[in-house]
Amino acid sequence: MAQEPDSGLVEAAAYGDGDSFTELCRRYYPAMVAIAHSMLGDRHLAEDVAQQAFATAAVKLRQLRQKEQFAGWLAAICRNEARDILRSRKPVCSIEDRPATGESDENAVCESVRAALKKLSASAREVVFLRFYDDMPYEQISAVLGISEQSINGRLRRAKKKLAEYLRRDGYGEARL
Amino acid sequence: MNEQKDEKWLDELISGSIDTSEPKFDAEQWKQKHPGEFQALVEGGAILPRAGRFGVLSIVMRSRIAQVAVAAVFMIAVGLFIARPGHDRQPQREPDQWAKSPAEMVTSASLRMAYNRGGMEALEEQCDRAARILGQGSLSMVDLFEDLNG
Repeated sequence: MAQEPDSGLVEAAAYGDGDSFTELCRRYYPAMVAIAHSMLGDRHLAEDVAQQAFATAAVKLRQLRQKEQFAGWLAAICRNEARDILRSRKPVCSIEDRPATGESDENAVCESVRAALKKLSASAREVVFLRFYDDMPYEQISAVLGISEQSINGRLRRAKKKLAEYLRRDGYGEARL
Repeated sequence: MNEQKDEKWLDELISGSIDTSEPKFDAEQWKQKHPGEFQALVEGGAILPRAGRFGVLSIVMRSRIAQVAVAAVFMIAVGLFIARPGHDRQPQREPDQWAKSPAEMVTSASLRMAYNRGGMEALEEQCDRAARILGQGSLSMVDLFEDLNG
């Protein structure tokens, strides 16, 4: 089942096969959480948003004409759900999964990295989160973003370069970056 | 420090700064949380073939040419229906169909209908038919009226 292409699972799910749909959910849950996390900066909220995106997708699945574009379509739903959250409440744009006390150097660096991530563009931050979520394979990132693996590589490299630049400006890692 | 090591250090920094452990999807929990949506997916699948048929129709109807063609066919059909021969005529009915007995055949309503249908000839024919049924084969309409009027 894990090897089955998305289009086959989407087709079966559209005919009412719940198992196929949950398999799709399992396959794209980390990616959807990563996308929502990159926008909201809150891991738990991101998981809720990803699950809500699946609920919306379950209702609208039959409207999807190009079954092979399921991942990109799902990502668009997830972004919309996250935007709705951002609109409906005070933005939680602080990337604060691991609260820093500011006591140690390590925490101070982490704080700077989070601040630097916030400064990245939404698309750059998204690709960073996607890549770093349990080393997500380029193939899946490509399916979700609808761009080639080369483009992902380029976008990721530019994002890291920016991150390094922001960190340098903050005075961190000057010796190494 | 070379570029590769710098990049590795940055990767470690990113991984250490945000929680990027792989989230696990719990299907059962999700179904419990969104029962309506899951039910809609599972139950809605049964009507998909029908929806597919209409989907094809809707795709065809997106074309302007198809829309004009359908409108033209509809107008031609309506025109043919209106102009068809005998559209405005009442169906011809035999007098027996509405007048079952000689008594009914000679009522004023029945006679009026016969007259409307075929004039005096039809009127006389109906009277003759009534008389035949009564067993007076030779009785003419005049005789019948005379008989009725005394």
